[in-house]
Amino acid sequence: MDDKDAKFLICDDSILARKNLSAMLKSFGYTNIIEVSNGQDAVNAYMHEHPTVALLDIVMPIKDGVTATREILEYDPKAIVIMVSSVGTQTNLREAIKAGAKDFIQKPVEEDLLEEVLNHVLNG
Amino acid sequence: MDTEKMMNDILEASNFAELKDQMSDFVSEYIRKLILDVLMYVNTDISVGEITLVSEFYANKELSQEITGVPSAYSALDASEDVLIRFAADYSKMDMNEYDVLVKESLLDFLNLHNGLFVVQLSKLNICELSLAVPKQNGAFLMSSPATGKITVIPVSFPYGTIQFLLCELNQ
Repeated sequence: MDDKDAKFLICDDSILARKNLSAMLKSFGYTNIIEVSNGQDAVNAYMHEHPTVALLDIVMPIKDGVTATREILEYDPKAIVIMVSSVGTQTNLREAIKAGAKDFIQKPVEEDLLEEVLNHVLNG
Repeated sequence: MDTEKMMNDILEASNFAELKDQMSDFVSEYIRKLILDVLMYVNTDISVGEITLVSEFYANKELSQEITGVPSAYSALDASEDVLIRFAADYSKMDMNEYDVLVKESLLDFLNLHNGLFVVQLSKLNICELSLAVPKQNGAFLMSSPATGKITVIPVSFPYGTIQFLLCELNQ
């Protein structure tokens, strides 16, 4: 599969954060992007859409990103989940990795870092 | 210019040093990080007015976020709608003309970003491990300080007006 065909799920309760992430993905050439605003919707969207990569915030209403990651990985152990959060504390990093996240990007998201992380998870 | 030096110069020109003895390290570090984050992500043309410690604060709108853990704290920001719109546009680098959902989301996004970077700094220094609650937005409200402390009001002036940033420690 051409990695530009990859499907992305963005989950963040901030419209601005979703808009910024989506604009970055589009600037990399990705056009297949789904946006949701809480962890429960992320789990549901993952099950229906089977995205290639899920980008999840941590602090969100209804269901937080770490719990959503755990549930997504239970459903699909091969899921590629990347946490994107302003709260990159040692505890959250540990919890995210324990839940099965492949990487953690500290907000504000730097475009170069996002591209590097995506290249790594998509192309090995 | 070095952002850290700019922050120190801005705080030196305010009453920050005079009040430091009345503030916990948590509050004074929060203020330093707030000014750094405003300089980094919003605007470098700022000054800090008279920082005050009050028992009550009436806010036009509730745009807030709780920092959870020990210590925990309530953080918020307030200003007139016009100034909030200009601040949101300044931060998001987008055109904004009315107080709508995108403006409110941008204001909360800044609060969440700054609070997040603040708790990350405390975590990296092995001071404490805190987390954040989901940001809240509501109408006008009266904020009262708990018996154990005061509300710190940090007025940050921009070319288009002043934003009052608020911080209140809930436990220590």
